Amino acid sequence: MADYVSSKVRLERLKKTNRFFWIILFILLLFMALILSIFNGTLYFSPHAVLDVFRGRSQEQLIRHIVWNVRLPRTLVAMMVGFNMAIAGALLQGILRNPLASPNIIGANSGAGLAAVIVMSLMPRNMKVLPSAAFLGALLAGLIIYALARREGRSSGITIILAGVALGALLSAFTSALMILHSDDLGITYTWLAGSLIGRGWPYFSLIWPYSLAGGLAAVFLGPRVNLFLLGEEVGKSLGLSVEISRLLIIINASILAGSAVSVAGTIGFIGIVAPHTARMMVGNDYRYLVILSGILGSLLLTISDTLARTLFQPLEIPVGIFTAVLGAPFFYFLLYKKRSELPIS
Amino acid sequence: MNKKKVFLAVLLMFVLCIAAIGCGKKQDDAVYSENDFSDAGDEQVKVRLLKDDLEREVEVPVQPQRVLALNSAMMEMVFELGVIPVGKVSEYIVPRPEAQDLPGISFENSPNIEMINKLAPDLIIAHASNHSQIQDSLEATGAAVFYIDPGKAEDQLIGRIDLVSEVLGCKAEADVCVQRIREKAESLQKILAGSPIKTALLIQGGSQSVRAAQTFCFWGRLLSFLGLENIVPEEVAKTTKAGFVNFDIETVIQKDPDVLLILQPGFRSASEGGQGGNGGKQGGQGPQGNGGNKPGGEGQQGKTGGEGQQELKSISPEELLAMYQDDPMWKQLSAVKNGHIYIVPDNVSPGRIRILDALDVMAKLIVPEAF
Repeated sequence: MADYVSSKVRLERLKKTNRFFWIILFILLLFMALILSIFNGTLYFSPHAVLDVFRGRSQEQLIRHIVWNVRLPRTLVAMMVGFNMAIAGALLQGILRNPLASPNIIGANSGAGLAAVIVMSLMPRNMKVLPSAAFLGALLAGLIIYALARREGRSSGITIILAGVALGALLSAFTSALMILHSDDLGITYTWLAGSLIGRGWPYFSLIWPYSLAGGLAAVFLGPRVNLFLLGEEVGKSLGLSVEISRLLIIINASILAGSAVSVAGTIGFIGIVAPHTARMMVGNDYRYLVILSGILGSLLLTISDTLARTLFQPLEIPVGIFTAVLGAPFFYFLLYKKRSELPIS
Repeated sequence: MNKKKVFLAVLLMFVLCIAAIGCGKKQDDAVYSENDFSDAGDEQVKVRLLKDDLEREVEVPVQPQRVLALNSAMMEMVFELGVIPVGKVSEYIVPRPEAQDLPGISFENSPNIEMINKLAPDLIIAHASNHSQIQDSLEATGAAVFYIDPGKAEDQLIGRIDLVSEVLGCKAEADVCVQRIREKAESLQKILAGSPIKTALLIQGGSQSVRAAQTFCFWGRLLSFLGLENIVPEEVAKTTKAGFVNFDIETVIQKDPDVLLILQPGFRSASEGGQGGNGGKQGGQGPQGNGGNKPGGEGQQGKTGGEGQQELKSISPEELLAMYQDDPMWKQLSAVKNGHIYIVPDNVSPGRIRILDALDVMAKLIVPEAF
C-alpha cells in the first residue's frame, strides 16, 4: 500500500515536472519567434544592425523606425491577440465541455464583425471608433447569448451553444445584408473579416495589453473552477462550485479576451481551437496549467503566422487569418484522425 | 510516451519553420536608403493647411516631391496630373511606361508599411475608408497623410481630381485633363448620335441577379459621357451609395434598353495581352494579382495610347447570345434580339485604364461599325 501511494506521488510529481517543462520550452520558442519576427520583414537589415537598435547604437533612423515602430509593436500585438484568443477558447471548451467550442460560440466573431461592418459602411469617416465598436459588439453578443441561454435562473452548456449558434447566424445575416447594400466597401470589409495585423502599431498595443493582462490573470484564477466544471455540474456543485456565477464570470472573461483580440485584429479563426487542444495534449486537462500553455501556444502560433503572412510573398501581405486557417484545417483533420482514441476533454 | 514523440515532432516542425523564416531570402539590401532619412540638415519645407475628407487639417507640402497614392484610381489621377508617384499598388495595371519600374507596395487594402517607409514619401494620398485604420502607421512615416473619399465624388469618372490637384498644387493640369475628357466625350457623342442606340444597361455578369450600374458610378458615367441614357434612374442613388444595385428585372423589361453591357470578371481584351490577374473590382487580393502589373510589351503600350486602335476580344457572340436568348427572362429584350449585347473588358475599371481609353473602348464596343 505504501509503495502504491509513493508511486502515485512520484507520478504526480513527474507530471508536474513535465508540465513545467512544456511551459518553459514554449516560452523559449515564443521568445525565438519574437526575435525572428523582429529580424525579418520586407526590408532586410543585418542582425547586427537590428541588435544595434536595441543597444541604442544604431545611427540609421530608418532601421530604428522600422524595428521600434513597425515590427516590434506588430509582433507584440500578434502575441497578445493569439494569447487572448487561445485562453478564451480554452475557457469555453472547459465550461461548455465541447471540444469545438471557440470564441465564435459566444458570438465574439459575429458580434464584433457586425459592429465593424456597421462602422465601415455607415460611419466610414469614424474608423477610429472601430476597435471600440468591435469590442462592444463582441461583449454584447456574449452577454445576449448567456441571457438567451438562461431558463429559470439556470443555464447549461447545451443551451449556451444553441443560443450562440442562433445568434451567430442572425448577426451574420445582418452583416451580409450590410455588405450587399454597401458593396463598394467590400474590399476593406473582407480584409478586416479575414483578420489582419497590417499597420498595428503602438496605439493598438496600448489598446489590447490591459485586457491581456487582466483577462489572463483572471483566467489563471478561474482555472480551478473550470476543472470542477469538467467533473460535471452536479459533482462540481457538491464540491462547492457556484455553477451559475462561475459560468457567468468565465463567459464574461472569455468575451473580454476575445472581444479585445477581435477589435484589434479582426476575426482571426482557429487560434481559439487549435491552441487549447495542442496544449491539452501536453499538459492534460488541468486548467491550472492548460490556460497558461494555451495562451503561450496561441501567441506562438499567431506570431509565426503573421511573420509568414508578411514575408512569404514580399512585398505583398496576405491577411494573417488565411494562414491560421491553413494551419488549423490540417490540425482538425489530425484531431479527427485521433478521434478513435478518446480526446481528454470529457 | 507516444504523445511526447508526436510533440517532439511537432516541435521540430516549428523550429524548422522558424529557421526557414530566418534563413529565407536575402540579398544584402543596402540599409542605407537612397532617401535622406536623417534628421540633420533638413530644409524647412513650405506647407499649407488643407482639410481632407476625414475633416482633418493636414499640413501638405506646397510642392510635394515624393507622392504616394494608396489606391489605383487615385494613382491614375496623379499620373494624369503629370506627377509620377514613388510607388504603386498591385491593382494598378494601366500600361504607362513611367509606372513599369515603380516599386510595389502590396495591395490597396493591405499596403506594406515597411515599403512605404523605405520609399520615404512626403505626401501620402490615402482612401478615407480603406486606410483610416492605419493612419498612425502612415503618419509615422513622416509624410503628410491626406485622406480622400472617392464616394463623395458626384461624378465617379472624373472622381476627386479637383481635390487631388489641389493637394498636388496642379489645378491647371486638372482643368486641362477634364477639358480633354469632355472634348473626347463630345466627339464620341457625335459619332454615336447617328446610331439607333440611345438607352443602355450595364450589369455585373456571372450570376442570376441583376446588379446594375448606377448613373454616378464609373461605368454609369461612361455611358452618360457617351450620350447614352442609363435605364437605372438617378433617384436610386438617394437610397444607396453603392455603385451597383440589385435591379428589378421587370423594370429592365419595361424600359427595354437598346444595348446591354455585361461586366464579367476574368475577361480581358486582346490588347492587354499577357496581363493576367483577377477580374472584378474585388479582384487582386491574391498573389496572382501581381501578374496584372506585368507590362504588355512595347507594341501594346503604343496601342493603348489615347488614340490607339484597340482590338476588342469578346466571348463568341453565339455563346453570349445563346445564354440570353434561351433565358425567358432576357430573350424578349430588344438588345438581345438585335445582338446589341456585349462583354465589357475587365480592365475598364478605375485605376486599370486611362479615362480617355475607357471612353474609346466603350464607344467601339457599342457601335463598332462606326469606327
